[in-house]
Amino acid sequence: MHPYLRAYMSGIALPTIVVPFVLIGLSLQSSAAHEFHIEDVLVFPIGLVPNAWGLWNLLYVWLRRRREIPAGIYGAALAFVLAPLAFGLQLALGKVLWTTELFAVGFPAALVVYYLAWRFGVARVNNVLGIG
Amino acid sequence: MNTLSDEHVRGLLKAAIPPPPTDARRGEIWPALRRRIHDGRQHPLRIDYALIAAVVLLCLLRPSVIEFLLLHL
Repeated sequence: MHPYLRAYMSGIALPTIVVPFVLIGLSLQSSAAHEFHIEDVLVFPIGLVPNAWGLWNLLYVWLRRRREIPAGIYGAALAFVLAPLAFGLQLALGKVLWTTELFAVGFPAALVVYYLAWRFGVARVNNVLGIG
Repeated sequence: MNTLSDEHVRGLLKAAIPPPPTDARRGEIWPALRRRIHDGRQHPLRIDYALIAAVVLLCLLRPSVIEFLLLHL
């Protein structure tokens, strides 16, 4: 199979596995716990994030043929791409959920989660598929 | 006109079609994949454990961070 196709599939694997747990977690929460309808905000984690991971990993495999890049640092950099997209989508939908305070705490946490997910998740799947 | 016996046809087919992989050759796939999984294993450093602990602590102190992570990133 083409290495870039493998890279895309390897990238989307982890977020695709997480999505059902997001759905279950949000469904179990009482609707009074948040001030939005679940379906209004799911477009980002379900529709865009897995594809973004796949394309980011495709770019990673392409770049790694030219220079050595640590997977964790590279993965954390994706958060800097996705955060403006997420905020832009919130603005476009008229449902801004982020406060400055929440972003100040949540974004560093997201960087760490992305770092670990790419270092131990995506890089591992890449190795298994022979593109690491 | 010549008539071919079943044995003759079987012999011709065997000669024309390459043999399927034997069980031994097929069995080599999984050990190879297993080897690749084990070889590629990254061992966590202390800083990784510290980062995991920090995120867990943050999620416990500020549960809204969990929703932030799940919904947007």
